[in-house]
Amino acid sequence: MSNEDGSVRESVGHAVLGGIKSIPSVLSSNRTLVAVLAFLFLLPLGTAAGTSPVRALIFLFTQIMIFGLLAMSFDLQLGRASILNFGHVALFGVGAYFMAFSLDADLLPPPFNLVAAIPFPFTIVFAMLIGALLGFIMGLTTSRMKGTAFAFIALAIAMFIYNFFFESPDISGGETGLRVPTPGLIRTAPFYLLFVGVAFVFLAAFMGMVILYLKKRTDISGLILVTPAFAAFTGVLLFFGTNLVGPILVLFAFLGAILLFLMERGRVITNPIEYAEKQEQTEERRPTDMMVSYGLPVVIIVIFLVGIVITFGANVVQMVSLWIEDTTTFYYIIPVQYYLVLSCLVVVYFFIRRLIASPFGRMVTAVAQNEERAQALGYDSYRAKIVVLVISGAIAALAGALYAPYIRTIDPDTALGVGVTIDAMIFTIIGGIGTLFGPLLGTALVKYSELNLVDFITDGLNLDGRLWLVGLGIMYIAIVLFLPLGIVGSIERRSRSIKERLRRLKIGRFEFGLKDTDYWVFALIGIIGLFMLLLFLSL
Amino acid sequence: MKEAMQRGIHALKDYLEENPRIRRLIKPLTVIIVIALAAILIAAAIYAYTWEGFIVRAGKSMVNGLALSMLLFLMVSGFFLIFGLCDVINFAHGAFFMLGGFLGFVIYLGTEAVFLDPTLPFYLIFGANYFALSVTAFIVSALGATTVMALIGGGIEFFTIRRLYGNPIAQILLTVGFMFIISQAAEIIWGPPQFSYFITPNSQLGYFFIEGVLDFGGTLQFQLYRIFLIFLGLAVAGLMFLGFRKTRIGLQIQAGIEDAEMVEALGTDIRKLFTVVFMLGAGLAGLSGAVLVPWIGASSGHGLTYLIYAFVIVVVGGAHYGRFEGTFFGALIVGLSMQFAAYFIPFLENIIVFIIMAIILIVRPGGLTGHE
Repeated sequence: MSNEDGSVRESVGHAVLGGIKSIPSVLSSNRTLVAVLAFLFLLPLGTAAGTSPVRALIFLFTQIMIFGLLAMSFDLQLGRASILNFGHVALFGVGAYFMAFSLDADLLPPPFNLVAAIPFPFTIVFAMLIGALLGFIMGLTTSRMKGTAFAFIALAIAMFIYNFFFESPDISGGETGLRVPTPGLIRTAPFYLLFVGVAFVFLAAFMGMVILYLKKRTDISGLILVTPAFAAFTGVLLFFGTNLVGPILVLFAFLGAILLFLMERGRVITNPIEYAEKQEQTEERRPTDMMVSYGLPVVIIVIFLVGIVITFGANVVQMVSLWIEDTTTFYYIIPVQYYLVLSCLVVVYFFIRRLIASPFGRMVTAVAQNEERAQALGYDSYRAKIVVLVISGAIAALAGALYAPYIRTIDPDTALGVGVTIDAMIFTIIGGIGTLFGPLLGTALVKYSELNLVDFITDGLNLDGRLWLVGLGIMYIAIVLFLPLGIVGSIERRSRSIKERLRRLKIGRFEFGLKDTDYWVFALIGIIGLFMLLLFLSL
Repeated sequence: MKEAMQRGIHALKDYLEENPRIRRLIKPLTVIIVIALAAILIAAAIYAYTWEGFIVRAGKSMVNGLALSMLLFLMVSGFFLIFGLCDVINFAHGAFFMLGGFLGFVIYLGTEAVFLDPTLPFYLIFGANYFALSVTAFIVSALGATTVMALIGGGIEFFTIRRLYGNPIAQILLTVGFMFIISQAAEIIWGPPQFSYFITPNSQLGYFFIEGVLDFGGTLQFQLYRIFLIFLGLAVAGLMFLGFRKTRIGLQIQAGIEDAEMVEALGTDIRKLFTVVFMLGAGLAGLSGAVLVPWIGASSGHGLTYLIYAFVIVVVGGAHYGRFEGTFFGALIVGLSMQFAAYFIPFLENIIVFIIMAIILIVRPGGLTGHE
């Protein structure tokens, strides 16, 4: 008995150790994502208390991410499984209405208002279950309905639900809409602190990624690439932070990283003959080895985190003290909602990426490309489609469940109207179908233009502001005519030649030799620059 | 559970296979069940509304339903042709219909003003016969809207869609873009969807649309305009039917819907056919929009509403490799069921179409005439 216990414990220990050991490789293979996510998780810290222009942008980002989730779930059907679904909005609206019902006990007649007894974060799970159930019902029809026929039967289901809600205004709010109360949990500081903790995990991951990158990229162009990223990051901290000490500490952390780079560079062996000589000395060098590979990086990460805590500590403390002062009217919920949505998006993103790479994802692709052949090879195409619809239904319902408390008023048209399906379709197609990042990019582009085109047309072009939808239509037509595969899709098609050209990029005599591993620098500087640009545009 | 269901279905099929006598019974049995259900429904309706009320309601919903379905058919046949031949799901079709309505409205008022102007010679032709005047102006407006919309549709096909054949996803985005442009342009010019424009209050004379009434005594009155709509729809449907059977271009279109590549291989310029079909489709949408203005009005919100009806009708009639007649019967089913529901079961008015569509698709996945 005890022996078994011991082995189990040992295996658990092995698993934990293995997990820790695999962190560096996970970080190294997701450099761009880690950098961008670290920045996105850092943003709300800069705005924690009081009002600021960043808050408006964060509010907009939240909306973009919610609809990005919807577009990703649509793309899972259209891009991966070739299922065109005109009734996608039903999955979204069901989630949104379930969330509304679960937050207000007075909405539904007695036997059904028990859903209001479910505490908040679990209602999201229940909403996803309901969406998955509806996706399953839609999926059942795919055995007979192929292609367009399925699109229309799904439309029939969606219109049925829409009309049901439209005809019963006491539960749907009718044309005036249904007020959705904010969940109590979103108004609590501990919930916020939980996400702040997650943000620090991402920041630590970011710093670790940078250190790993510098240790690997030991030629001089690595340093040249990293310096502007450091400068931009410290600049952001200076801009949003409340004091100078924090950014200076972060700067020290970056200097430490550069020191590490120089130490690592001194040990690099370029000459094969040297290699043998150094090999003999390994025994003696052990202590410094430990120091360079574990000690210094940990110290740097700790300094970095402490610097960020000092930079934004005042904000967080202010936020928490506001909550302690008055727990009922705590209304700084925008950063909390942003964090909630962002975390859901990150989970869904990695889940979809994993799903596509899995054997099941390959099977779905096979079914999408040639259903008869896939069936002849022994795959159950019917089951594959149902599973895709169930998963995508759960994600769409998640988007709906996040949308209802975010927008605070839902009515049948905004939550269940055909317009939402068309929106999701447009987001996906503009970004590029069958790409992971495309739907998100398409959503960001369209949503941002929707909200700012009016100002641009009235102030920038001195035209009638109502022309904005015409402008949007012209944008769609231009994108279709010049980038027929969507933005990401069209760029991916040319990515090899672009990468090749970047690899050969020279300035003067100096060759950068850009590789895949370097792109995170551009992503980080790009997103910081984009954010600053949007901030100045909105001021 | 699915397996159990399939096993049950197989067992049933085997049983029917072994007993041809029972198999032969099934068809008449379903017919009898449908008739019995209809009789029960009618009896319930008579019980609820009394005999008199039932006749009035049934007559009105019959006439209105026929008129509506003819007009829906005019609009949807264009959508069907574009979808069948060019494989383009034309999201802008509802917008074409809506724009046709506005064009018809504007042209009607303009023509009427010209006809009534005493300084112009038209005044001599009609004299005091205002009924003939308004009918003529109405016909002019319908023809004008048809022509303008045909030109717009042809232009859109020629300049943009032509580059994107074979990329259905991009076509959706493109037509959605045109839908946005057209509906927003209409909204800027004529106002938001809350405003509907009807010819009658704006016109200087409403002889044709209000006072033209066929009276069968009691409350059983039918507007002449609705009857006119029915005959117009039937006439255009007949013309198209003949055109598809007798003319060369009609046969080519019909063949192109079945197999576009083969038609092209046989030496037909299919690109030219595509343009023709787009012009025809947009023109028919414009015609139905213009003719419907006195009834449902012209409003910038109509685009999306009627687009969905177009979807439903085409799917019911048979979208893939479907036949022209399928769309006709699909339009009949949708129009009649909508109007009957509106008069007898108002709660179902908006949903019944989708229930019927679901039932038909479950029984025949390809629609009435299409292949699976």
